[in-house]
Amino acid sequence: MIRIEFQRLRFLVVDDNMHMRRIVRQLLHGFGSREIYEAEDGATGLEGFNSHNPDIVITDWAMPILDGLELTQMIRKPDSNANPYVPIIMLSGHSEKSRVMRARDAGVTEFLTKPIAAKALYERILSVVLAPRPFIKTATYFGPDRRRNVNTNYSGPERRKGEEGSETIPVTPIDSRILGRAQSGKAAATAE
Amino acid sequence: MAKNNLPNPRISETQYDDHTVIVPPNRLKSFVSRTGDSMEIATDPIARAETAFNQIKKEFRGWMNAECDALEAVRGEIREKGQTAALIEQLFNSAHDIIGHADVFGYPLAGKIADSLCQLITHAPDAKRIPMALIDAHVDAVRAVVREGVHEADDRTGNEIYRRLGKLIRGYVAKSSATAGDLASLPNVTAPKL
Repeated sequence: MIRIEFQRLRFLVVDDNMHMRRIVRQLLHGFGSREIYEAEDGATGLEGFNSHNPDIVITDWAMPILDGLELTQMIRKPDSNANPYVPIIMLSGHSEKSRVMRARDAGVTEFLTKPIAAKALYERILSVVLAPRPFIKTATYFGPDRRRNVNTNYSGPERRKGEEGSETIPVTPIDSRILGRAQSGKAAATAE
Repeated sequence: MAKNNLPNPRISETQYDDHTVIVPPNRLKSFVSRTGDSMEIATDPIARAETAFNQIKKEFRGWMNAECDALEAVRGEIREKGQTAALIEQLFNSAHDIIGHADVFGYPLAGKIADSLCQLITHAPDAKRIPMALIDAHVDAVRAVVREGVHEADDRTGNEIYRRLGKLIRGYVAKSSATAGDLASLPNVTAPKL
């Protein structure tokens, strides 16, 4: 049985709505988390990120001062002293494809549409812990590899050979979505 | 900065012509434990989280009332100061908050009506001259759903109000450049009566 030790994970929850923060905190407590920091806007979230060094960031999109996209871009600085590789899960009421693409292009790791549910949040956390993607740095982008799947029909040059070093953990998934994500990693390391 | 209890990351980088592939070690792997040979993922945390979530459900009505208060406060400011771009944006944001929260709080119809208000603002020919009656109808309908404790998504009266609001919006934006596709998510006004 594979189990995440939530009691050791440190979360930062950034949302300008106190009720949503309470709900996310309640769900994380239910998973077993104890160390949860909160921020009510992107600027405070950035401060919290730098001071608490969370293992996972969960952020809303629409917020005053700095929104969730800007917060993500501030975190994803390749030369940052803080951890620019931290998994970022974005919560949003917007589910339009264009929004999801913008979040992806800002460097968000996982996207979660409101209304939030325990299972969906759990799946996103599993995904970032068990099957992290390599990072890509270009002139205009720094963030998780935006390709989630291997295109078997692709016949061009292979430009993502660096994925072979990634450390994904092979698991029996709890549903097909996790299966898709876990299998997308080419190389695997066992969880010890 | 807080000290992280994780080992120092070892990062491997592979350079290509126009990009670099970076593989940071999976630091979170140390937070995964395994018992026995099974590679099944534990699902009991989901059940525990759902139980924890149910414990705060009794507070949702109060939270939803607070959302309605915020929406009505913006409406009040608009009545007082007129439809400025900033206030219309605030109205949109308040309605959008309700879209995101209404389902969680158990008032799905309030979310649908709030979405209708967002569509009204988005597709209005002139976002600073939206008929106040249309704004009022949406704000009052959201409040009514919460006040009457309408939790069912298929509530007949609530859906009838939602449909009528959709019809009003379609009529209002008919002269704008909005296409039928833009408004596809609004209720179908030709649907048979309940």
